[in-house]
Amino acid sequence: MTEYEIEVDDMGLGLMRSDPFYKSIDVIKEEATGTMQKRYLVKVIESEENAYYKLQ
Amino acid sequence: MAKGLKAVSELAKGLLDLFHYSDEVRPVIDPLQHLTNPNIRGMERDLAYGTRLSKYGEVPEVIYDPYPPQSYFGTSGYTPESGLGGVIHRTPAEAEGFYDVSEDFKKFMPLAREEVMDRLATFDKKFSPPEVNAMVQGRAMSLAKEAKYLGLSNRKYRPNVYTQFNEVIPQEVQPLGQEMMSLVEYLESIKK
Repeated sequence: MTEYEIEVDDMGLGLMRSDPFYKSIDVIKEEATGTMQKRYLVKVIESEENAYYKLQ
Repeated sequence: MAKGLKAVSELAKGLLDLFHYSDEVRPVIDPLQHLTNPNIRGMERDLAYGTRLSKYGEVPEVIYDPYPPQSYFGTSGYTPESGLGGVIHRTPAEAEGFYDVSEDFKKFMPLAREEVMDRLATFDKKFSPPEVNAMVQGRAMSLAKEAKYLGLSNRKYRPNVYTQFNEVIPQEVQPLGQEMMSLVEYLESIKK
């Protein structure tokens, strides 16, 4: 199980939330950027081990 | 009254009224300009400049930059945040032209992940999960652009905000302290 934090924008977060690849997505922090685009710090748990890392 | 009727008529035709805010009138709203905003930093800026796939110093240097630049628009229900410029640009756009990322019915994220993984497997370099995630998101967005969508929407989680991939010429503008006017009227007024 892969767990990490990542910064995403509105549309990136929407894409991640629609994708069952992510077991959980928790918004830790949400902030305005001074533009219409918001920035989110999210804690992500991926639902399966990323196949690429298995190759390493 | 006339504006209200116009809005109802456009809604019936499936047209969205979209508004873009900036600190000066922009005859063209250019997605590339969005990234020059000094407030855009961190993740968004990283996405815009891409990820180096080749090892440091390796020639040729390979940069993967799938993220499509986008300009942001709000609907009439959007409340502008502080810090946004006070100049308003209005443009109509067909609601159907936007790809809803909160549904992702064409499965662009899984498709993008598969493609990114295949690409990364050809490089002798490790990438962190956040790096991979960012590349997948960027590629999923560019798949929407390649599928000829105007831009993205996030109907479930941020329904009043839309993005557009291409340059947009606003139909109307409202300079600071002035009434909303057509772009043509505005351009003529500054010639005088």
